[in-house]
Amino acid sequence: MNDDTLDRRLGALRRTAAPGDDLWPGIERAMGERDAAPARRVRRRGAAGWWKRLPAPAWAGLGLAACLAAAAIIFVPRWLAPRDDDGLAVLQRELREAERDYRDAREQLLVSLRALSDGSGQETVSRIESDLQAIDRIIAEAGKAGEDDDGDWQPVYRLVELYRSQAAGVARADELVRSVSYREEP
Amino acid sequence: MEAAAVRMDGAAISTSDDALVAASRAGDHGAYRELYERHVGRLYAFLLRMTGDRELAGGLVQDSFVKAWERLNQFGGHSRFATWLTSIAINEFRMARRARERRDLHRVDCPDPTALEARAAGCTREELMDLERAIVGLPARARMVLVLATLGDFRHGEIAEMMGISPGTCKAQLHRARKLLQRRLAP
Repeated sequence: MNDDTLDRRLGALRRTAAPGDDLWPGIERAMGERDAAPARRVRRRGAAGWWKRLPAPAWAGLGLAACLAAAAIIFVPRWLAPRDDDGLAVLQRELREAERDYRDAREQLLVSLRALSDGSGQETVSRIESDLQAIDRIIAEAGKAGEDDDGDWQPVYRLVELYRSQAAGVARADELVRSVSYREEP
Repeated sequence: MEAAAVRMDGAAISTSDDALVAASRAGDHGAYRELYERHVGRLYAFLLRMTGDRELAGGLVQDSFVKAWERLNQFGGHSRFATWLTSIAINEFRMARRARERRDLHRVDCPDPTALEARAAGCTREELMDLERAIVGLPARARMVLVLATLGDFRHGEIAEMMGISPGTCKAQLHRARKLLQRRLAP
Protein backbone atom coordinates (compact mmCIF):
# COMPACT_ATOMS: atom_id res chain seq x y z
CA MET A 1 0.00 0.00 0.00
CA ASN A 2 1.41 3.39 -0.92
CA ASP A 3 1.35 6.62 1.10
CA ASP A 4 -1.53 8.15 -0.87
CA THR A 5 -3.82 5.18 -0.32
CA LEU A 6 -3.00 5.09 3.38
CA ASP A 7 -3.60 8.84 3.72
CA ARG A 8 -6.92 8.52 1.88
CA ARG A 9 -8.11 5.75 4.18
CA LEU A 10 -6.87 7.48 7.31
CA GLY A 11 -8.64 10.61 6.15
CA ALA A 12 -11.88 8.67 5.88
CA LEU A 13 -11.80 7.46 9.49
CA ARG A 14 -13.96 9.13 12.09
CA ARG A 15 -12.36 11.72 14.31
CA THR A 16 -15.00 11.48 16.99
CA ALA A 17 -17.26 8.81 18.42
CA ALA A 18 -20.19 8.93 20.77
CA PRO A 19 -19.96 6.79 23.90
CA GLY A 20 -22.73 4.22 24.14
CA ASP A 21 -23.92 5.62 27.48
CA ASP A 22 -24.23 9.21 28.60
CA LEU A 23 -21.10 9.70 30.68
CA TRP A 24 -21.95 13.18 31.97
CA PRO A 25 -24.17 12.17 34.94
CA GLY A 26 -21.34 10.11 36.43
CA ILE A 27 -18.88 12.94 35.89
CA GLU A 28 -21.20 15.53 37.44
CA ARG A 29 -21.85 13.28 40.43
CA ALA A 30 -18.11 12.94 41.03
CA MET A 31 -17.69 16.70 40.62
CA GLY A 32 -20.41 17.26 43.22
CA GLU A 33 -18.68 14.92 45.64
CA ARG A 34 -15.44 16.82 45.18
CA ASP A 35 -17.23 20.14 45.70
CA ALA A 36 -18.93 18.87 48.87
CA ALA A 37 -15.76 17.44 50.35
CA PRO A 38 -14.18 19.47 53.17
CA ALA A 39 -11.28 21.67 52.15
CA ARG A 40 -8.27 19.47 51.74
CA ARG A 41 -5.66 18.62 49.22
CA VAL A 42 -7.53 16.74 46.53
CA ARG A 43 -4.42 15.39 44.92
CA ARG A 44 -2.67 12.79 46.99
CA ARG A 45 0.51 12.46 45.05
CA GLY A 46 -0.18 14.71 42.12
CA ALA A 47 2.00 17.04 40.12
CA ALA A 48 2.68 19.51 42.91
CA GLY A 49 3.71 16.64 45.19
CA TRP A 50 6.16 15.48 42.57
CA TRP A 51 7.70 18.88 42.33
CA LYS A 52 8.27 19.09 46.04
CA ARG A 53 10.28 15.88 45.89
CA LEU A 54 11.64 16.29 42.41
CA PRO A 55 14.42 18.83 42.80
CA ALA A 56 16.42 16.80 45.33
CA PRO A 57 16.97 13.69 43.19
CA ALA A 58 17.30 15.64 39.98
CA TRP A 59 19.83 17.98 41.51
CA ALA A 60 21.64 15.08 43.09
CA GLY A 61 22.01 13.50 39.66
CA LEU A 62 23.34 16.70 38.14
CA GLY A 63 25.69 17.26 41.07
CA LEU A 64 27.05 13.76 40.67
CA ALA A 65 27.55 14.38 36.97
CA ALA A 66 29.53 17.53 37.76
CA CYS A 67 31.73 15.62 40.22
CA LEU A 68 32.39 12.90 37.68
CA ALA A 69 33.27 15.51 35.08
CA ALA A 70 35.76 17.19 37.39
CA ALA A 71 37.32 13.84 38.24
CA ALA A 72 37.54 12.94 34.56
CA ILE A 73 39.37 16.18 33.75
CA ILE A 74 41.86 15.87 36.59
CA PHE A 75 42.54 12.15 36.83
CA VAL A 76 42.31 10.76 33.31
CA PRO A 77 45.01 8.08 33.11
CA ARG A 78 47.08 8.70 30.02
CA TRP A 79 47.72 5.04 29.27
CA LEU A 80 44.04 4.50 28.47
CA ALA A 81 44.13 6.65 25.37
CA PRO A 82 45.36 5.78 21.87
CA ARG A 83 48.67 7.29 20.88
CA ASP A 84 48.83 7.49 17.09
CA ASP A 85 47.06 9.33 14.28
CA ASP A 86 44.55 6.53 13.67
CA GLY A 87 43.72 6.59 17.35
CA LEU A 88 43.15 10.32 17.17
CA ALA A 89 40.72 9.81 14.29
CA VAL A 90 38.86 7.22 16.35
CA LEU A 91 38.75 9.62 19.24
CA GLN A 92 37.35 12.38 17.04
CA ARG A 93 34.56 10.06 15.97
CA GLU A 94 33.90 9.08 19.57
CA LEU A 95 33.83 12.74 20.46
CA ARG A 96 31.07 13.39 17.93
CA GLU A 97 29.06 10.41 19.21
CA ALA A 98 29.54 11.39 22.84
CA GLU A 99 28.47 14.96 22.12
CA ARG A 100 25.33 13.70 20.34
CA ASP A 101 24.52 11.39 23.28
CA TYR A 102 24.89 14.25 25.70
CA ARG A 103 22.63 16.55 23.63
CA ASP A 104 19.98 13.82 23.34
CA ALA A 105 20.05 13.13 27.09
CA ARG A 106 19.88 16.85 27.84
CA GLU A 107 16.89 17.35 25.54
CA GLN A 108 15.11 14.32 26.99
CA LEU A 109 15.59 15.58 30.56
CA LEU A 110 14.09 18.96 29.66
CA VAL A 111 11.16 17.27 27.93
CA SER A 112 10.53 15.11 31.01
CA LEU A 113 10.73 18.09 33.35
CA ARG A 114 8.37 20.20 31.26
CA ALA A 115 5.93 17.33 30.95
CA LEU A 116 5.68 17.23 34.72
CA SER A 117 5.27 20.90 35.33
CA ASP A 118 1.59 21.45 34.41
CA GLY A 119 2.34 25.13 34.71
CA SER A 120 3.68 24.79 38.23
CA GLY A 121 7.28 24.34 39.18
CA GLN A 122 8.52 26.59 36.37
CA GLU A 123 11.03 28.06 38.77
CA THR A 124 12.50 24.62 39.36
CA VAL A 125 12.70 23.96 35.63
CA SER A 126 14.47 27.29 35.16
CA ARG A 127 16.98 26.43 37.88
CA ILE A 128 17.76 23.06 36.33
CA GLU A 129 18.04 24.65 32.89
CA SER A 130 20.47 27.11 34.40
CA ASP A 131 22.52 24.18 35.78
CA LEU A 132 22.55 22.53 32.37
CA GLN A 133 23.73 25.77 30.83
CA ALA A 134 26.55 25.90 33.38
CA ILE A 135 27.56 22.38 32.34
CA ASP A 136 27.45 23.51 28.68
CA ARG A 137 29.82 26.34 29.53
CA ILE A 138 32.25 23.97 31.27
CA ILE A 139 32.24 21.73 28.22
CA ALA A 140 32.71 24.69 25.87
CA GLU A 141 35.66 25.93 27.91
CA ALA A 142 37.21 22.46 27.91
CA GLY A 143 36.76 22.33 24.14
CA LYS A 144 38.40 25.73 23.67
CA ALA A 145 41.31 24.73 25.86
CA GLY A 146 41.95 21.77 23.56
CA GLU A 147 41.86 23.76 20.33
CA ASP A 148 45.41 25.00 20.75
CA ASP A 149 46.85 21.51 21.16
CA ASP A 150 46.90 20.61 17.48
CA GLY A 151 47.22 16.85 17.00
CA ASP A 152 47.34 16.10 20.69
CA TRP A 153 44.99 13.33 21.77
CA GLN A 154 44.78 14.24 25.43
CA PRO A 155 42.38 17.21 25.21
CA VAL A 156 40.13 15.26 22.84
CA TYR A 157 40.15 12.28 25.16
CA ARG A 158 39.29 14.45 28.14
CA LEU A 159 36.46 16.04 26.20
CA VAL A 160 35.05 12.63 25.26
CA GLU A 161 35.16 11.57 28.91
CA LEU A 162 33.56 14.84 29.92
CA TYR A 163 30.66 14.39 27.50
CA ARG A 164 30.17 10.78 28.54
CA SER A 165 30.12 11.52 32.24
CA GLN A 166 27.71 14.42 31.75
CA ALA A 167 25.44 12.35 29.52
CA ALA A 168 25.37 9.58 32.13
CA GLY A 169 24.56 12.02 34.92
CA VAL A 170 21.84 13.77 32.94
CA ALA A 171 20.34 10.41 31.90
CA ARG A 172 20.27 9.37 35.57
CA ALA A 173 18.51 12.60 36.46
CA ASP A 174 15.99 11.92 33.68
CA GLU A 175 15.36 8.42 35.01
CA LEU A 176 14.71 9.85 38.46
CA VAL A 177 12.32 12.42 37.06
CA ARG A 178 10.45 9.75 35.11
CA SER A 179 10.33 7.35 38.05
CA VAL A 180 8.82 10.07 40.24
CA SER A 181 6.30 10.93 37.54
CA TYR A 182 5.00 7.37 37.36
CA ARG A 183 4.42 7.04 41.09
CA GLU A 184 0.93 8.46 41.06
CA GLU A 185 -1.56 6.09 42.66
CA PRO A 186 -4.30 4.62 40.47
CA MET B 1 -22.95 31.20 16.70
CA GLU B 2 -19.67 32.36 15.25
CA ALA B 3 -17.79 29.96 13.02
CA ALA B 4 -14.73 30.25 15.22
CA ALA B 5 -16.67 28.99 18.19
CA VAL B 6 -17.67 25.69 16.59
CA ARG B 7 -14.36 24.74 15.03
CA MET B 8 -12.64 21.82 16.71
CA ASP B 9 -9.15 22.69 15.58
CA GLY B 10 -6.72 25.56 15.75
CA ALA B 11 -6.47 28.57 18.00
CA ALA B 12 -9.95 29.92 17.38
CA ILE B 13 -11.54 27.44 19.73
CA SER B 14 -8.95 27.91 22.47
CA THR B 15 -10.14 31.43 23.34
CA SER B 16 -13.60 30.11 23.91
CA ASP B 17 -12.28 27.13 25.84
CA ASP B 18 -10.27 29.46 28.04
CA ALA B 19 -13.39 31.38 28.97
CA LEU B 20 -15.18 28.16 29.81
CA VAL B 21 -12.23 27.01 31.88
CA ALA B 22 -12.31 30.28 33.82
CA ALA B 23 -16.03 29.87 34.48
CA SER B 24 -15.52 26.24 35.47
CA ARG B 25 -12.85 27.24 37.94
CA ALA B 26 -15.41 29.47 39.58
CA GLY B 27 -17.56 26.37 40.11
CA ASP B 28 -19.85 26.68 37.07
CA HIS B 29 -20.85 23.10 36.23
CA GLY B 30 -22.69 24.30 33.12
CA ALA B 31 -19.50 25.73 31.66
CA TYR B 32 -17.67 22.52 32.39
CA ARG B 33 -20.46 20.55 30.73
CA GLU B 34 -19.96 22.69 27.62
CA LEU B 35 -16.25 21.76 27.66
CA TYR B 36 -17.29 18.13 28.05
CA GLU B 37 -19.67 18.31 25.09
CA ARG B 38 -16.97 19.83 22.92
CA HIS B 39 -14.25 17.35 23.69
CA VAL B 40 -15.91 14.07 24.66
CA GLY B 41 -16.26 12.75 21.10
CA ARG B 42 -12.64 13.20 20.22
CA LEU B 43 -11.39 11.93 23.57
CA TYR B 44 -13.62 8.86 23.46
CA ALA B 45 -12.50 8.02 19.90
CA PHE B 46 -8.87 8.35 20.99
CA LEU B 47 -9.31 6.10 24.05
CA LEU B 48 -11.40 3.60 22.10
CA ARG B 49 -8.61 3.23 19.57
CA MET B 50 -6.06 2.88 22.38
CA THR B 51 -8.00 0.33 24.43
CA GLY B 52 -10.16 -1.42 21.82
CA ASP B 53 -12.77 -1.68 24.59
CA ARG B 54 -15.89 0.52 24.72
CA GLU B 55 -16.53 0.08 28.43
CA LEU B 56 -12.96 0.76 29.44
CA ALA B 57 -12.74 3.74 27.09
CA GLY B 58 -15.93 5.21 28.58
CA GLY B 59 -14.60 4.75 32.11
CA LEU B 60 -11.33 6.43 31.19
CA VAL B 61 -13.19 9.36 29.64
CA GLN B 62 -15.10 9.82 32.90
CA ASP B 63 -11.96 9.55 35.01
CA SER B 64 -10.15 12.03 32.74
CA PHE B 65 -12.88 14.66 32.99
CA VAL B 66 -13.14 14.24 36.77
CA LYS B 67 -9.35 14.53 37.16
CA ALA B 68 -9.35 17.59 34.90
CA TRP B 69 -12.06 19.17 37.08
CA GLU B 70 -9.99 18.54 40.20
CA ARG B 71 -6.92 20.06 38.59
CA LEU B 72 -8.41 22.98 36.69
CA ASN B 73 -6.44 25.39 38.84
CA GLN B 74 -3.25 23.85 37.48
CA PHE B 75 -4.18 24.50 33.87
CA GLY B 76 -1.95 27.44 33.07
CA GLY B 77 -3.24 28.11 29.56
CA HIS B 78 0.20 27.49 28.05
CA SER B 79 -1.35 24.86 25.81
CA ARG B 80 -4.80 24.21 24.37
CA PHE B 81 -7.34 22.76 26.77
CA ALA B 82 -7.64 19.78 24.40
CA THR B 83 -3.91 19.13 24.73
CA TRP B 84 -4.00 19.35 28.51
CA LEU B 85 -7.09 17.15 28.75
CA THR B 86 -5.58 14.55 26.42
CA SER B 87 -2.38 14.43 28.48
CA ILE B 88 -4.54 13.58 31.52
CA ALA B 89 -6.31 10.90 29.47
CA ILE B 90 -2.94 9.46 28.40
CA ASN B 91 -1.92 9.21 32.05
CA GLU B 92 -5.21 7.51 32.92
CA PHE B 93 -4.75 5.09 30.03
CA ARG B 94 -1.22 4.23 31.12
CA MET B 95 -2.31 3.59 34.70
CA ALA B 96 -5.21 1.42 33.52
CA ARG B 97 -2.90 -0.54 31.26
CA ARG B 98 -0.41 -1.13 34.08
CA ALA B 99 -3.23 -2.23 36.40
CA ARG B 100 -4.55 -4.60 33.75
CA GLU B 101 -1.09 -6.00 33.09
CA ARG B 102 -0.79 -6.78 36.78
CA ARG B 103 -4.18 -8.53 36.77
CA ASP B 104 -3.90 -10.45 33.53
CA LEU B 105 -0.65 -10.52 31.63
CA HIS B 106 -2.02 -12.59 28.80
CA ARG B 107 -5.02 -10.51 27.86
CA VAL B 108 -4.65 -8.55 24.61
CA ASP B 109 -6.58 -5.61 23.26
CA CYS B 110 -9.70 -6.62 21.42
CA PRO B 111 -10.39 -4.48 18.37
CA ASP B 112 -13.85 -3.02 18.28
CA PRO B 113 -13.97 -1.11 15.01
CA THR B 114 -17.75 -1.23 14.79
CA ALA B 115 -17.84 1.46 17.45
CA LEU B 116 -16.08 3.78 15.03
CA GLU B 117 -18.17 3.46 11.93
CA ALA B 118 -16.30 5.35 9.30
CA ARG B 119 -17.53 8.13 7.13
CA ALA B 120 -17.40 6.57 3.71
CA ALA B 121 -15.29 8.76 1.46
CA GLY B 122 -14.11 6.74 -1.47
CA CYS B 123 -13.33 3.73 0.69
CA THR B 124 -15.33 0.62 1.37
CA ARG B 125 -16.53 -0.17 4.86
CA GLU B 126 -14.39 -3.31 4.87
CA GLU B 127 -11.27 -1.36 3.98
CA LEU B 128 -11.83 1.03 6.84
CA MET B 129 -12.62 -1.74 9.32
CA ASP B 130 -9.40 -3.47 8.31
CA LEU B 131 -7.58 -0.21 8.90
CA GLU B 132 -9.17 0.18 12.35
CA ARG B 133 -8.12 -3.35 13.24
CA ALA B 134 -4.60 -2.70 12.01
CA ILE B 135 -4.41 0.49 14.10
CA VAL B 136 -5.53 -1.31 17.27
CA GLY B 137 -2.86 -3.93 16.53
CA LEU B 138 -0.01 -1.39 16.44
CA PRO B 139 2.46 -1.14 19.35
CA ALA B 140 1.00 1.17 21.99
CA ARG B 141 3.37 4.09 21.59
CA ALA B 142 3.29 4.11 17.79
CA ARG B 143 -0.50 3.77 17.86
CA MET B 144 -0.84 6.67 20.28
CA VAL B 145 1.29 8.97 18.11
CA LEU B 146 -0.55 7.94 14.94
CA VAL B 147 -4.00 8.47 16.44
CA LEU B 148 -3.09 11.82 17.99
CA ALA B 149 -1.28 13.15 14.91
CA THR B 150 -3.52 11.79 12.16
CA LEU B 151 -6.94 11.57 13.77
CA GLY B 152 -6.55 14.00 16.66
CA ASP B 153 -5.03 16.82 14.61
CA PHE B 154 -2.39 17.52 17.23
CA ARG B 155 1.01 18.87 16.22
CA HIS B 156 4.23 16.97 16.91
CA GLY B 157 5.22 19.46 19.61
CA GLU B 158 1.91 19.00 21.39
CA ILE B 159 2.08 15.22 21.19
CA ALA B 160 5.66 15.24 22.47
CA GLU B 161 4.54 17.33 25.43
CA MET B 162 1.56 15.09 26.15
CA MET B 163 3.53 11.85 25.96
CA GLY B 164 6.72 13.07 27.60
CA ILE B 165 8.90 12.30 24.59
CA SER B 166 10.99 14.46 22.28
CA PRO B 167 9.53 15.76 19.00
CA GLY B 168 12.11 13.69 17.14
CA THR B 169 10.91 10.51 18.83
CA CYS B 170 7.35 11.51 18.01
CA LYS B 171 8.14 11.83 14.30
CA ALA B 172 10.02 8.53 14.32
CA GLN B 173 7.08 6.75 15.96
CA LEU B 174 4.66 8.18 13.39
CA HIS B 175 6.89 6.97 10.57
CA ARG B 176 7.09 3.55 12.21
CA ALA B 177 3.32 3.36 12.64
CA ARG B 178 2.69 4.24 9.00
CA LYS B 179 5.18 1.66 7.75
CA LEU B 180 3.65 -1.03 9.97
CA LEU B 181 0.16 -0.17 8.71
CA GLN B 182 1.29 -0.26 5.08
CA ARG B 183 2.92 -3.63 5.65
CA ARG B 184 -0.12 -5.11 7.43
CA LEU B 185 -2.59 -3.78 4.89
CA ALA B 186 -0.57 -4.76 1.85
CA PRO B 187 -2.67 -6.97 -0.47
